[in-house]
Amino acid sequence: MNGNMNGQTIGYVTGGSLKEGLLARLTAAPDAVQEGGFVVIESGGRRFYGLVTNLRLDASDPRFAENRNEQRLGPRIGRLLHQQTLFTEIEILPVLMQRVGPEPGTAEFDRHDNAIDPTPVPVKTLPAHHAPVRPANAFDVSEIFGDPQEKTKFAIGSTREQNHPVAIDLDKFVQRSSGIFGATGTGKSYLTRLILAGLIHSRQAAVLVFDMHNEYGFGDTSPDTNIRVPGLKDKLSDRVKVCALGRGTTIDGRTPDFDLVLEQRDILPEDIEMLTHELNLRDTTPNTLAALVRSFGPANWFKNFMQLKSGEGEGSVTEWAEKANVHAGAAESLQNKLRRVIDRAYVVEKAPANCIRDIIGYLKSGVSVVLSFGKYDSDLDYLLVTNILTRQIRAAWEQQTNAFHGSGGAKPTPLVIALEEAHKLLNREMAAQTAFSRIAREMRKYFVTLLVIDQRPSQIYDEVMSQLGTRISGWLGDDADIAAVLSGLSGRDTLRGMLSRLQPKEEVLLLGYGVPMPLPVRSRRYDDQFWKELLKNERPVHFEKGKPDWLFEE
Amino acid sequence: MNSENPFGRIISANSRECVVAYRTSEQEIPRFGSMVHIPVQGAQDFEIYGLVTDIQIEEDGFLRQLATADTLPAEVLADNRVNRNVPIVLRILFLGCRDENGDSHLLPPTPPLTLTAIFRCNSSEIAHFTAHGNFGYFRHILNAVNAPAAELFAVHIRLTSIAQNAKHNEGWTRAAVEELITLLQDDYAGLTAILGALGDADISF
Ligand SMILES: Nc1ncnc2c1ncn2[C@@H]1O[C@H](COP(=O)(O)OP(=O)(O)OP(=O)(O)O)[C@@H](O)[C@H]1O
Ligand SMILES: [Mg+2]
Repeated sequence: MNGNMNGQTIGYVTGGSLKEGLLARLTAAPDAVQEGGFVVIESGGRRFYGLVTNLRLDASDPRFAENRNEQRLGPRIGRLLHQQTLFTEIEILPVLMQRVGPEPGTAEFDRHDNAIDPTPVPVKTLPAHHAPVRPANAFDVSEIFGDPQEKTKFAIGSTREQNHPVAIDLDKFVQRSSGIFGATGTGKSYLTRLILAGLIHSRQAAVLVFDMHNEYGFGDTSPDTNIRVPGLKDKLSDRVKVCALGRGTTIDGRTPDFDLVLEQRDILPEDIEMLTHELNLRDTTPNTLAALVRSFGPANWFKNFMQLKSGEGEGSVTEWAEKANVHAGAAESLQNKLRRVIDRAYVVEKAPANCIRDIIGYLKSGVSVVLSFGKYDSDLDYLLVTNILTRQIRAAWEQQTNAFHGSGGAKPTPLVIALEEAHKLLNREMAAQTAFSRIAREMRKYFVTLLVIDQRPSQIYDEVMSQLGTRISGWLGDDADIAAVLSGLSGRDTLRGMLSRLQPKEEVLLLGYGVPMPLPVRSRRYDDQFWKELLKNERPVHFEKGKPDWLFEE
Repeated sequence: MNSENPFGRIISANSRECVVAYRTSEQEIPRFGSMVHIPVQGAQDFEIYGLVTDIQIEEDGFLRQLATADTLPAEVLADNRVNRNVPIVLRILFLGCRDENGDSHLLPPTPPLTLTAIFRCNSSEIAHFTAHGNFGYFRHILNAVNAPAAELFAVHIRLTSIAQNAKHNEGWTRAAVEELITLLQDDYAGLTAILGALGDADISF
């Protein structure tokens, strides 16, 4: 433990409580600290880590503040008076505390018990009155958030005042589902790109990105700055495959590694039920779908149903409905509505290759896949494709995990599924029907987690929200959104203000039980410099298909 | 230490202050707010330090007649001022004392007896006593009844800062003002009155 790196003291503790936080008198100028500043208080063999949650201009008597005495007393006496009677009080939310041994080289150090456990733990006591308060230095930040140079750590940004790098733990990030939130333009997609690059590069997990706006594979041009930034494929080409929805689709003029087309047999009744809102389906639909599966089987119901003719007679919907004992009108109406699905160019009767199996194969071997939606950017496309794909992925990972636990099969590759506009799939009505809420709730046992990216966290089902371990949020204006991001966390009231006062861009609050303590950080810039730093130790790897063992070496 | 002549003798005293009759043969009345010392001999010798908080010049029997006379010859004027029947009296507030252990800002253990002689402090005595400790003697000035604290501090700090500067203790004045602010933080009116007086005294630091 290095006690010599103490920065200069900015104040001293004057009071407080565990419930309401600490109060400290600032001895430095009020602008020496900001809301959200990371501060350290040393007291009685312990180091307390906390966040500045409020600043208040105060006076020993309000009249000293109200009257401009320096005009009457002259500048010299006025200054002395103000130095002592006018001051800034800061409120500190203490979060963690840590036992510290004596300074090396002192007599106490030689005597002291080496068994002191320096692991930071949640605060259960308070520093003493007059304990000095200082801003956290780089050592403190890495003591709490980890050393960004470590393999499983990834520098996601830096503290706002002193610019010390702040890391997230990729292991933890992968073990639980996570979320990235913020109003439009706050930098969610840029931050996601950073984190995914870190994840893929560290080989901590394979990633499947549902890239609704074609931003991740081949990069993107910022509408604000007109600067083009590279995509994951551009920089990590041997570990990333870009897959585009529909045959022959190009993304910004570039050809993907392969296409994704769905076979009609991939579509199950539950995929259709999930589209109730999109397709404006009736209450009778589940009945009709059940009857269809009974008549034609789970693999062929869609194809056979869609081949039924309209009108009466042999091979018509009406004839089938009468036989199957369902309402003919309902069946005809359903068939009509399903035309919107069968008309999608990426839904085919027979695909030249089993694309979904390919995607699963890549992911299993640790290669990440960016699925670009190309021109198919409607909600219907997004819901249908993500759901079908995710259902099969879930089944594959469940099967592999069971084999791993049961018969000593290979350990499944950890998989992170990144979802832009997640509320479309994870809202209250959808959550029960899509594969995603189950992934958020229980798939971590099967090595699959979600990275949820959304502007409107309040629209995400709260049971899903409560599963998100690491939450990273940019500025949010809406009270309901703020409440959703903070749900289930302690210190909500103080964090609420911090969220609403973040810079509108490139500043985020790290939150949730996946991070050691909440902290506002300036986002790392996603630019050439970032890639240089990330890839600086890179040895060229020769990837051989079918020999994925260079990944995830234990 | 007492190289000078005493300027007067004590006519009454209590634990906090004393009254001194001024010897008119002395050239100059000690100034309001200046520091004095009173050597006390007894079982234990010590020296009391004090501050002139009041100077009273009262009339004697003839004064009314003289004051209303048409003309006042210079000899008569001088005679009345020097050979007074009723002496000029000074009120001295005790600030602390010094014994063999050194300076202390506590009140003297016993008041001086009547007719004890009293001396002015020289610059080095002032500097020594006021630099001792941490301005503990300020409380006696603040607690003094019937004394204009603001005026006293203004004069005292101005005079003392000259003595301290002579000893190259330039930080004293600023520290003294800071101490006053600390002591009077809860007394807005009292503090601003004192600081106002300090401003008038044109103290530099
Ligand atoms: N880390 C970063 N590095 C460089 N530029 C950034 C970063 N974060 C944000 N920006 C800038 O801010 C702009 C908006 O960021 P981004 O596209 O990530 O917003 P968003 O939160 O995903 O918005 P939306 O919800 O509309 O998709 C970018 O075009 C870029 O210019
Ligand atoms: Mg975006």
